[in-house]
This record gives sequence, C-alpha cells and structure tokens, in this order.
Amino acid sequence: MRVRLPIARIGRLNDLERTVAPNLWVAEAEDFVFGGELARHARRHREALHLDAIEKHGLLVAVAVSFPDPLYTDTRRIAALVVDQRRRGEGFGTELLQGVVDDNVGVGKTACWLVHPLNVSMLACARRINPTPDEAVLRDGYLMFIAP
Amino acid sequence: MRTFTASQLRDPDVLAQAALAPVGIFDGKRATEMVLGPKTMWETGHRLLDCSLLLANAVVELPDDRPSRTALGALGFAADWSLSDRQWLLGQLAEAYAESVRLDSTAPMEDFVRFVSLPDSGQSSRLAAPVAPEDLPMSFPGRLTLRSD
Repeated sequence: MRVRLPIARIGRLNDLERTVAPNLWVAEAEDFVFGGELARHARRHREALHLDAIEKHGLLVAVAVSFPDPLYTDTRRIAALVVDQRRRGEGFGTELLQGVVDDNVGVGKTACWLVHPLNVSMLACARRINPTPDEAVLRDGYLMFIAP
Repeated sequence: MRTFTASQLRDPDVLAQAALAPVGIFDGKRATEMVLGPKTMWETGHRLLDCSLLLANAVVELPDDRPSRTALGALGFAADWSLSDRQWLLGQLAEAYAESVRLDSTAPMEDFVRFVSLPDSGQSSRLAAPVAPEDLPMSFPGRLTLRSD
C-alpha cells in the first residue's frame, strides 16, 4: 500500500534498514533521506515536499522524496528513492517510482530524477515504468530521466 | 481502574492485572489509595510530560521576535530561524506531539525533533541539486521550462 507521510511522522523512516557498507550511489540516496539535507528541504518546501512510501504489514519498506524542481516550472524532482535493504528485488522501487510519476502525470506535471550511471537496479527500475521516461546523460555522467 | 486492598497484594492475580494496566491499592491504615502498574507506563507518562513541556515552551518562544534558546531546550537550534520557519516548526511539532499522545509513545515527537535538528552542510547532493539549463540534454527540447520567479 502506498502512503504519503506527513513530515511530523518522519520517525516512521526508522522502519527502513539502512544498507551495511553501501556503495556510492546507495549512500548518496540514503544520506539524503536520513541526513540533514532532507530536513532542510522539508523546511524549504513544506507541504510541497512529498514523502511517498510503500507500507507492508504496517512497516515501511520503501520511500521516495520529491519536491518542486528548483529551476523548472511544473516539474517535480524525485530527489531520492530508498528501499529497505532486506526488501530489495521485490519490485517495491518500481512500484513506488511508478506511483509518484503517475501522481504527477495525473495533475499535468512532469517528473524528473537523476540516476548514477552505475546504479544498475535503479536504471532498470526507471526504464521499466510506464509512461516510458526519456533519459539522457548529463555532462557529469549522471542519467536524467523525464516522464512523461 | 479496579481497586484492591493492600492485603490483597500477595494475590498473584492482582499482580497479573497490575502488569497489564494500573490498578488501585487502598491502604486502609493510612487511608490512602495508591496506583500499582507497569513501570514502563509510568515512565512513558513522565516522558510525555517532558514532551508537553517542550511543546509548551515552543508555543511561547517560537512565535516570539527574539526566542530564548535556553527556554527552547532541544529546539534551541531554531532560535536563529526566520519567523516563518519557526511557525512551520511549531505546527509540525504540535502534529508530532498529537501523534505521540495518540500512540502513548514519545517516539513520534522525539524522532521529529531529532530529524529537524540534524546537521546540514547546506550543500545539495547531486540527486537534489538543480540541473542547469546548459547541462540539460539536447534530447529534451522544450520539455522543461525555467521558472520565472
């Protein structure tokens, strides 16, 4: 079940188990979600910051953070997507990304997100969603996805 | 709350009930009624009182022109925030407090305070940083429009 967490319930992120010895791209996403940067964005974007999550048996198994893109209008930036390390490979990442993209499509907005070029699982997840996102390589090597 | 007499304290059923929820113990010699219950329940109640105090101080200090860092306690870091940010914090804090009371657990309030007090470098990670128009791929013509504000 997909839920949207209010910031006041941020403690529910404790349900998610962080990765032991994460690689660069996993650490990048997890540090964003569990670190001070999310608090700063929450303060800046307030209700416009969305914490979408997948809940299974009362526990969160994945969370996606998104907010209005800082530069582009009618565009929602999905800044991080984290899946509990014990629940990877079960399709929760794709389900969540799909849900967030669909929400934006439903209100006539564009969703965009960056993926590290070596983050194979997130690349697969991004390429699996419908509506099919466009992707391109940025100057610094990250892949940028735009949907729809 | 069910009440027993002090002489019934040796009854295992009284202790069994008290382990689940507080029961009254009436001491006839002192004409006093006491409460016997799980220690964790008592401790949680006291910690919720601490949360209430934190919220009460926040209600007084956060909307003030010059909030007292000392009176704000664990929220002292917000003394330097703009009034708008402090008002936002107060609203969120009240929501977290209400959740704590609903769940009879201090976790929502404590987790929220821990979250907002996390140190931040001020730098956006690559995942959240703006992508400048000149860095946008040529394959996205007209897909994104710069904000006018």
